[in-house]
Amino acid sequence: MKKEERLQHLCGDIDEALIEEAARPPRRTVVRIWLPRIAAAAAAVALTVGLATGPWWQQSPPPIIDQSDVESSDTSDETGDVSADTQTGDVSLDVSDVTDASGETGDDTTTTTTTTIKPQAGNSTTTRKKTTMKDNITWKPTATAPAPQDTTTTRHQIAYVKKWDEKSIVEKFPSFDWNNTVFDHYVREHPLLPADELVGDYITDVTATGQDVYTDTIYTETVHLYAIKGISTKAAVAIRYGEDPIYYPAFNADYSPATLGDLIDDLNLAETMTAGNVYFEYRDEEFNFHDTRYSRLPAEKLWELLADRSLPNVYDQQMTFYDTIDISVHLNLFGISHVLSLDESGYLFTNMLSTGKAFYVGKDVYTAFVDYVQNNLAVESDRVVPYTPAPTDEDTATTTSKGAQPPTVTGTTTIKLN
Amino acid sequence: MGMDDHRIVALYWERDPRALAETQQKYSGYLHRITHNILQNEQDAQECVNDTYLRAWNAIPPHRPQRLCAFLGKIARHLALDRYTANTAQKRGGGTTATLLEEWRDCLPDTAGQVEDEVAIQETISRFLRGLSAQHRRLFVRRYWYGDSINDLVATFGGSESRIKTQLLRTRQELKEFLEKENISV
Repeated sequence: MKKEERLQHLCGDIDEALIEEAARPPRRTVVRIWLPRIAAAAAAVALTVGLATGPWWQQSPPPIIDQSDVESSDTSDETGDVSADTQTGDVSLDVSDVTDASGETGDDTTTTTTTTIKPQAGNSTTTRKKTTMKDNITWKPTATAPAPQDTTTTRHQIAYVKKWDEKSIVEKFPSFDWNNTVFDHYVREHPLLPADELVGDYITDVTATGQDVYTDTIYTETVHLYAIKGISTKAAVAIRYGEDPIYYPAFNADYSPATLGDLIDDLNLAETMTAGNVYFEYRDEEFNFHDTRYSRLPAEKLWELLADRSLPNVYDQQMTFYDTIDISVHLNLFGISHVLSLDESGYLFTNMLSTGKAFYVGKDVYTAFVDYVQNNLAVESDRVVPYTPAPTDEDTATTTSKGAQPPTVTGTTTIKLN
Repeated sequence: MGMDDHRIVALYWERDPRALAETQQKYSGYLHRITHNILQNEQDAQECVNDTYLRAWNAIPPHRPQRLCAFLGKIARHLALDRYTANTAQKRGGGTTATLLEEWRDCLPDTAGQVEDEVAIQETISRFLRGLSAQHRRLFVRRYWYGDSINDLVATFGGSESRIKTQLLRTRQELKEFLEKENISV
């Protein structure tokens, strides 16, 4: 193979996010229209444009997207997923019928994104966070529609945005800046208890801002910060709002330990973490697929896996893992569960505190761990997906049943065997 | 519009034949464009698309692609390039892909680097692309990953043909320098 051919082939396996990004129509012209009073209507128009925009392989050239009221901080943009109902004034996140420019219907938005409604006039943020290690998409619509009367959601709305008075204190002020780091509450309604045993020294006061997106009113609240005993303030602190006596944990949304040892120490995992069940996905000799749950992993085995504290954190947002082993872990202090995962290429990674962390432990460790799990832990459940042979031309003409028979494709295309 | 990708992947995992129907309905045009850009032959392109469905069926599970669109596109591109290579051996190649190969030559490092590992090179290319502006990155990927013609790029990105060509040339030169700097050997 010539060098240029090799380079061309190598380029084929570039980051999938780049491939997906390029499949979307590019931004063409940004028309700046600043009319706050009709901003909600403009957002709705932007949504309509998004709906009408087909993928690039169906439409060329792509339409011009007016982004005067919908901006994005991410390359995965151009969608009009935030809508403002001009009739009721409800602001909602709409994914059920939204087709983004790549032709995918709300895929990432439903499961993998941090969606932020952030009015342009003001610096407060209302954040709804879903556990993810993937793309973050931020929209910044301006919604100044009148307060709604109808609080029900439609079939198109997956998230009704609460009125200000309906929100808890944490929902009103879900994040704040401290030392130039945005802290976010991942456990919104989980007070630190018993506070007198867990809450350490007072650190400082900061001001959190919250916004009533219906009236465009900015509110502020004093947040008192405290250390959590045994936990690094780089990872988490305890907070208390104003005169409210309840302490909540607040996690560093950008937490990224340098090494595995740092992760263990910062979160005091030796004392705060317990292991749960082990989940293993594999194929047997007959190529049947197994999704198996094993019994609880003994603590000593967990710590054997975490033994090399010097392993550097090599996580990159663009990394893709094919996790086959998942270990459920529970951070008792915070009342949250995460997973430690191993992929067959030898990476140990985890979503603790909802940020990505990956450590290369090596394929040998992976292999040894799989061997241990299969030979020492009890099988609690085993979902088997029988191997289904690939379809043939004959099959496509005669079979339509599910599972037991080879699949068919309707339409003009037939499946062709090699 | 098509079914949500996560639902399609779930159908694959359930070994439900509708996975293929839904994939075809949603992505046949996308995949056909990739394969046709490379092969410039309707029959070959369609066969590669069909083979892509088959490969996807065999690959999911165990894979659970987070980006089904790119996952399928990669399969289709590899299949099309393999077929292009075979066709070229039988003197059936040429066209856009031959031109693209000429352009890829511009990216080859002049120096003999030490890094030969494929994964490392792929990561280096990805890193380089992530460092570009969004517009230049998309332009590059559309040209060299999707195999879009210059005319298609003009229609998609706007501007003149010469501007598009100049931008691509600059990016190729930048990639070459980057690969040299990263001690890459191709």
